[in-house]
Amino acid sequence: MAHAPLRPGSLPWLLSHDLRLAWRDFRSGFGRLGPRALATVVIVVIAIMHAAVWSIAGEIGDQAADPVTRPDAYADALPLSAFVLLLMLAQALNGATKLLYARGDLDLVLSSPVSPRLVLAARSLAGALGACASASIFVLPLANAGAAHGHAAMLALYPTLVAGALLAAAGGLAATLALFQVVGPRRTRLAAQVLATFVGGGFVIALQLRRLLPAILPQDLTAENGLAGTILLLPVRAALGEPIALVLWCTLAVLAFSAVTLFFGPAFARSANAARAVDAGGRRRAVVWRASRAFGRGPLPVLRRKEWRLIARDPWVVSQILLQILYMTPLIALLWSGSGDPALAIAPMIAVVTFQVSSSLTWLGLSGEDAPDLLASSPASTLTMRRGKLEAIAAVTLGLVALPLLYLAWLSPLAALTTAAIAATGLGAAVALQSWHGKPGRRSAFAARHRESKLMALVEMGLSVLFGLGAALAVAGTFLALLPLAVVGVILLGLRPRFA
Amino acid sequence: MIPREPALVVKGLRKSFDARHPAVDGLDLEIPAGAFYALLGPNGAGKTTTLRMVAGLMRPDAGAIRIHDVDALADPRAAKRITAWLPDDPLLYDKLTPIEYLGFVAGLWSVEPARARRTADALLERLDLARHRHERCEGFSRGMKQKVSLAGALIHEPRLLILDEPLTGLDAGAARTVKTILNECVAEGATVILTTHILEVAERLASRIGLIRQGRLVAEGTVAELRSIGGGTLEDAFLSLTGAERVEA
Repeated sequence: MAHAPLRPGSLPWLLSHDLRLAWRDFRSGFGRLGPRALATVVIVVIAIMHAAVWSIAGEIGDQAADPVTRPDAYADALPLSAFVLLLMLAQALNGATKLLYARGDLDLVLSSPVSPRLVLAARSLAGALGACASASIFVLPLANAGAAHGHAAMLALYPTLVAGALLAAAGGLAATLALFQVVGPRRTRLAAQVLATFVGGGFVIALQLRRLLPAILPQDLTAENGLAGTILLLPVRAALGEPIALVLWCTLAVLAFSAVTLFFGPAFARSANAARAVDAGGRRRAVVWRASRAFGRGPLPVLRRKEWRLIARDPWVVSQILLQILYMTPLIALLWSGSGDPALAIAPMIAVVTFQVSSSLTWLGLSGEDAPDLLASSPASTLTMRRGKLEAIAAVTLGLVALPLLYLAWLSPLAALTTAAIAATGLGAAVALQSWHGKPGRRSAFAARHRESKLMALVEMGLSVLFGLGAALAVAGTFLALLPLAVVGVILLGLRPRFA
Repeated sequence: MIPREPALVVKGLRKSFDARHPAVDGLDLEIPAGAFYALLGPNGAGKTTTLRMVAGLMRPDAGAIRIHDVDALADPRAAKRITAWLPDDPLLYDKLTPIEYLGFVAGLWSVEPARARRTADALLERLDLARHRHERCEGFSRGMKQKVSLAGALIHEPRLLILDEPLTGLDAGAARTVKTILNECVAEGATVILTTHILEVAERLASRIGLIRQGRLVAEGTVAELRSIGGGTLEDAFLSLTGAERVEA
C-alpha cells in the first residue's frame, strides 16, 4: 500500500525533513559500514545493555511490586532518572544553541511562508527524539528486562522517556531564548554552552554537594513528602507505571512543549535573525597586546601562539575541556573516599585528563585546521609545523594537570614520576591516533568530531579508562599496572596504518 | 629591478585524478618576470590544478616547474619562500585579528619581526583595515576577509603571486583596491598570475593571457594578439579557442 504523501509545509513534513537529515548525519558516523553490519552492531549493543541491566531491572521491579519495598525502588530509580533527565536537558541546551547559531538551512526555511512556530516545533521535536534515542540505549533495556521478569508496568518507561525528552527540549529552548534576552545574542552561545556543561555535570555536582554539604540537600529525597518530593518523584513514579503519575508526567511534558513552541515561535525567528546579525556583522575586539606580541621570530613561536589564541577564544573547546574535567570528579571522589589515599584518586585523574584533553586538542591542532593551504604553501617544513602545534597542545595539557601533579609529587615523588610517565604515554597515544586516523575538518566541527567517527570515539573512551586504571594500579604499587598499558599497546598496534 | 630569468617555467606538467581524464595534460608555460598573467579557461580546464601545483600544494605526476630558476619540485621550500598563494576562499582564522594573522603568516615565512610589523602596518593602512586591526576576523565581510588574506600574501614581499579567482564575491570598491594593489606589485617588479572568470578583468589588467582547455595551453599572447585570433573581442577568442561556444550551443 502506498503511503499518502505528507502535506508540504505541515509539521509532519518538516519533522520528516529534519529526521532524515539527522539520520544521515548519524549514519555517516559509521563510515562505510553496510546496513547489515550496522544492524549487527546495534543488536549486539542492545543485547549487551539488556544483559548488563538484567538483574537490577528484576530487583527494581520486585521492589516496586511490593508496597512495603516500593520506596526502595524509588531510591534506586531516582538517581538514574535525574542523570538521564539532566543529560537530555544538556543535550537540548546544546541543540537549541546550534539551532540558532550553526543555522544550516535555517535561513532558507525561515524565508519561506511556513510559520516560525511550526519550524520551531519540528526542529525541537527532532531534537527531543534525538535525545530520546541516545538515552533509550541505556534506559529502555531496563523496561524490557523488567517486563521479561514479569513486571509489565515497567514498560511505562517508554512514554516516560519520550515525555522527559519533550520536557528537556522545552526547557532547553526556553532557557536559551531567555539567555538571548538577558545576556544578548553575542554572549548567549558561550553562556548556553557553559550552562549545558554544568547541567550535564549537574548530577555529579549534586552528588558531591550531598557528600560535602549534607545540610544543604536532604540525604533521603524519597522520604520527602512535600511538594519538592512529589515533583522529584513524579518521573520515577511514572516510569514505574503508576497511572496517575504517568498521565500527569506526560500531560505536563506535552503542555510544556506546546506552550514553548507556540509562545516562543516568533521570538525564535527574531533571535535567529539576531544571531545571524552577530555572525555576519558583529565585530569583537580581541585583547590588545603590545604590537610586538603579534610578531615572532620564525614559525615555531607563531605556531604555538596561534594555537593558544584559537583554543582560548573557542567557547566550544573551553566548555568541552571543562566538561571532561568535571566528569572526572565522581571517579576521584569514589577512589579518594574508598581508599583514603589521595594519591590513588589524583593519579588516574591526571592520566585520564591528559589523554582526553590531548585527544581533543590534537584533533584541533593536527586535523582541525582552518587554513591548511596557507600552511602548505609556506616554506615552513611539515615537521616544524607539527612540532609547533604539538608543543602548544602539550603546554596546555600540562598547564591543566600541573597543580594536581605537583600535589602528587608532594605526597609521593615516585607516584608523581610514574603518573607523569603514564600521562606522557597518553599524550603520545593521542598524537599517534590523531596522526593515523584524524579526518581533516574545520575547527568549528570540533564538537561534532565524534559524530564523524563513532569508532574513534569508542577507542578514545576505552583508552582513557585503560590509562586511568594503569595509573591507579601503578600508584598502588602493583605490577598489574603493566596489564592495562599492554592492552593500550595492543590496541594502538592494531590501529596503526598498514603501508603497502 | 626586474630579473632576467622567467618568473615561471612549466614543462610537460601532468596531473590525473582518474585514468581517463587528466586534469592537466602536458602543459607548457613560460611567464616572464614582471608580467601580469591571466590564465583563462572554462570550468574544469585545469587552471586551479595547475596553480596549486605551482604553489607547491599538489605534486604533479610528471613535468617540471621552475620559479625564478628554482626547481620547485626538487626544492619546494626555496620556491615557497618567494611565492604567495591566494585562493578565492580566504585563508583565514576567524578567531584571530588582522594584526595577529599577519604576525602568524610573517612568522611562517620567517620575516624579521620589526620589518614584518612595518609592512603589516603599511598593508593594513593601504587596504583600509587599520581601524579593524584589533577586531577578530569572524565578524568581517567577505571583501574584508579577502583583503586580510591578500595582506597575508604580501607580507613577505613575494616575487611571484599566484591568485585563484581573487575577485570572487568582492564589491566594486574592494575589487578596485585589490586590482590597484596587484598592479603596484607588478610595477615594483613582482609577477602576478591569476585565474578569473571575468574576461573584462583579464582584458584590463593582464599584460599576457593564456587560454587553457582540457589541461593544455591552446593559445597565448597579449589581449590584442588573442583578439586577432578570435576575430573580434577577447570573449570571441575565448569561446572559439576553448570550445566553450560549442558546449553551450
